[in-house]
Amino acid sequence: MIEKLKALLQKVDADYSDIRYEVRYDNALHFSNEELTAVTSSLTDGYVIRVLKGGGISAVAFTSLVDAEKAIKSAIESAIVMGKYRKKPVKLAAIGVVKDQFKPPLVEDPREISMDEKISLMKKYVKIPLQQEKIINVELGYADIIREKYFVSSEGSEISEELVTTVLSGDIKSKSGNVIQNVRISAGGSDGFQNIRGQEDNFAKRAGIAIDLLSAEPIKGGKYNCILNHMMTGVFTHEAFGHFSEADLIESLPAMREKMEIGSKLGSDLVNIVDDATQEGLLGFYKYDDEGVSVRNVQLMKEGVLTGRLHSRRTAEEFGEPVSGHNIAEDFRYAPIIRMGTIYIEKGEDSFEELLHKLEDGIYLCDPKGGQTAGENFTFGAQYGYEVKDGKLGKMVRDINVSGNLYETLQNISAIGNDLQFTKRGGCGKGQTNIRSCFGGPQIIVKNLVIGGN
Amino acid sequence: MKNLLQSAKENFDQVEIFKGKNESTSIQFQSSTLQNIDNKIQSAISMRAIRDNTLGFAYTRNLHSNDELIKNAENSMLGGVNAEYQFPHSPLVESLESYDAGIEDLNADIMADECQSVSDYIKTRTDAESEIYAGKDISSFEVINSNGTDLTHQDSTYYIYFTLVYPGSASGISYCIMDKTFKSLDHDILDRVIAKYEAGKNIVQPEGGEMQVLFAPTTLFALTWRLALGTSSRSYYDKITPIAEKLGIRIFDEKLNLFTDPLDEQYPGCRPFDDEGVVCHRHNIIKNGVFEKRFNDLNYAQKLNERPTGHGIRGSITSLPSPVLHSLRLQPGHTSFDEMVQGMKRGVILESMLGAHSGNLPNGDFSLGVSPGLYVENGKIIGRLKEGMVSGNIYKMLKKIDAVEDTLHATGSNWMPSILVDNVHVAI
Repeated sequence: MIEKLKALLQKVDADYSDIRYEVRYDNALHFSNEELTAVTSSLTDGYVIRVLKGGGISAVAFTSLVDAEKAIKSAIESAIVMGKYRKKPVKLAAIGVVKDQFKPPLVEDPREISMDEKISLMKKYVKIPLQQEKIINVELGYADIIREKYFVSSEGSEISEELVTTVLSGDIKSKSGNVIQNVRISAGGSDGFQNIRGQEDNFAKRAGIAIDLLSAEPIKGGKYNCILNHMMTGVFTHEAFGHFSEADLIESLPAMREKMEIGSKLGSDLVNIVDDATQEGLLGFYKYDDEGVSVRNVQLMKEGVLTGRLHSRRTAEEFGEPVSGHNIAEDFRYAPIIRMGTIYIEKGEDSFEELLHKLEDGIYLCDPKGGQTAGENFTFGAQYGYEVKDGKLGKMVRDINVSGNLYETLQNISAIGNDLQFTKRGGCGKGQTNIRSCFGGPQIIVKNLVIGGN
Repeated sequence: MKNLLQSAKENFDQVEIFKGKNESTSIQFQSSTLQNIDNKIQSAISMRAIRDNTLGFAYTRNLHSNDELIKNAENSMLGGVNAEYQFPHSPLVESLESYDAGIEDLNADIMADECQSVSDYIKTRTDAESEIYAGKDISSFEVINSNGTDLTHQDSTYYIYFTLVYPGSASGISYCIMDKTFKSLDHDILDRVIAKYEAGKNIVQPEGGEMQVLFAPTTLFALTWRLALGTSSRSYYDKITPIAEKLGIRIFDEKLNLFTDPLDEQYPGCRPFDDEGVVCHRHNIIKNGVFEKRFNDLNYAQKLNERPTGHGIRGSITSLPSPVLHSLRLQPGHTSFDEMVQGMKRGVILESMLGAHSGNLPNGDFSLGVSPGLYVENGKIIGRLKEGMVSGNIYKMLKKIDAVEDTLHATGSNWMPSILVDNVHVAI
């Protein structure tokens, strides 16, 4: 395949070009309660070519080799148009030539597990919540996605890399009278099918939470001091801060770029943040991004001071900062854009009991229910929470959605827990869905969070 | 397609082939600079096959061999997914004027020039940072099946979506224009958006509490998403809708009329049939506040013994069709946007939102971060909230609607007016 791609690139008359070909194998199934509603095993493939010419860069994603010449012509024309409308020509930061073939270590290869076994396991999981009378619906999906990527650049890089992702994703709904509540369940990872096994206790626990939510009180809207559990800390770090670390989101917003100058003091002294996709075994692990740059651990914040940023080659050149290897595409249907790998606040010193003691009164927020950011404002939901009074956990509360301002919230982090947990399932949707987007962190105390209640 | 169908028919009781093709160009223009041009030339094919009431499903991007796709569909049958529905027999469907050949002449240069011109206009009138997205899309899809359906549809879309960003916030006032081919952006529209931006320049921090909220068209998605969950046949079958027993009963303000109308040719994205080859019609979901009809796909129509309503849509080639409200409209009312604002004593215009997915969706709960929210007192916008959250429950909130705007605006494939509601909780 590499030779075929090199032959295609030779047809491109440009300052720089690269081409990526991917084969994607999907094995997926879905249960709605105990009814199996979908099973599929399919192969899809396609190409993305990028061209730098005339001061502009452009990409064309195409499915069929029959369209290769049309795609090359279109990429060249678009690059020239882009150059015409830019005051400053696009340049790419220099990188070394890489020739490598990389396959990740797998504990249990999902390709060696039969579809029958996958179906049986999911069926077993579905039955666990449904044993409870108040559980009215369980939606459960399983998928393994294997991407074989081949990358060639006009600079001489030739890389192949395989990404194997397993995903279990479900939703458990409970009902009492007219009240319906739901909790999510997920598992998976980047190193094999073993991440999907052994989820029985998890399903039982999540079903219990769904039932408890039926009698939990809706939270009253207002400002609260809060402990964010590990996953809530993760979604805050990802949504509120992480997206601003992606250079493409701020490069053309002058005021925002000024606020996010390296060296700016944005958080409390306690806050250290990294994006480290080099950690094997975590969902976010990969070796090369989709422009052939080896990913590195980036210290984004140190003691509240902004110290780094996530880049593509283009934005690294634009900002005069080092490349980081974060230009990632969902698959062969897309040109790469800057994405987080594994982002988290580094752990601190406090146990959970110490955090409760420091909080005194407030809310313990547990497990995110999505999140979104626009500029300095963010919002994310919590699946459930508990009142905290005099440093002790109290009754469960529900219908929790948090809204806040990034800079104020970073300054309002007043304590950091002493252990780390990470997500097992991705799904960040920044125009493309990144199923390997990984976040997590310790539990933290944040003061004065706005919570929208009923 | 026909060869594939012919080969597959020998193996199964029923076969359906769906083929989609798409060519698109998108442009991103930020603060007077062209940031990005992306092009796509893509196609995909999928097969559903039924034998002994068991479903097989497979898809691919490049059809390397008919036998391979048939084999993958065959293999997926081993899972035993039940399918008792029949693929439709829809041989004669009148085509719609969904495609404008003028779009063929539209290229990246013309769109970049339009973005530059819009950017320049904004720059001369305000200090806002601007983000402009423009693009063209030519799509076609074919549905053929072993029951005699053989349908083809093509459409074209041009859009320009722009935001006037409040410096340092990355949120701002947006507007979207969609058509079947290129249309230069009217300066009147730009002036209205600029005026709204200017009115919200000051940051204000009023007391939170219950107040009027004017939901701008793009934010109605948060409400219609929950309405779709409540009114879908799938939710009814899964027993997860809180309005399961309310069919035929008035549950909302009589000003609420929600319907799908894929046959209305004045809008881009009109289509005569759904992704399963079921013929589309205008379909009332809520009429004068009454929950009139559910919507379904072939699968749920069969399960509930309903007539298929033409709402079987594939999220992507990798997924089976499921019931989706496409070409959705909220019937416009009789009040202009300006009159709605003038009628507000104290409240927030939710211009854009964060977290449409937040809250207990099946219950109808929502909690939306303002992004931004313009604060209104005595009929006048006096500034914008730095942060805040609008929350409630659609089944309670929409029992009383103060006003529905008299104009529809493009919000993706759906067209919506603004609506004004009172007594909504706003945390600030």
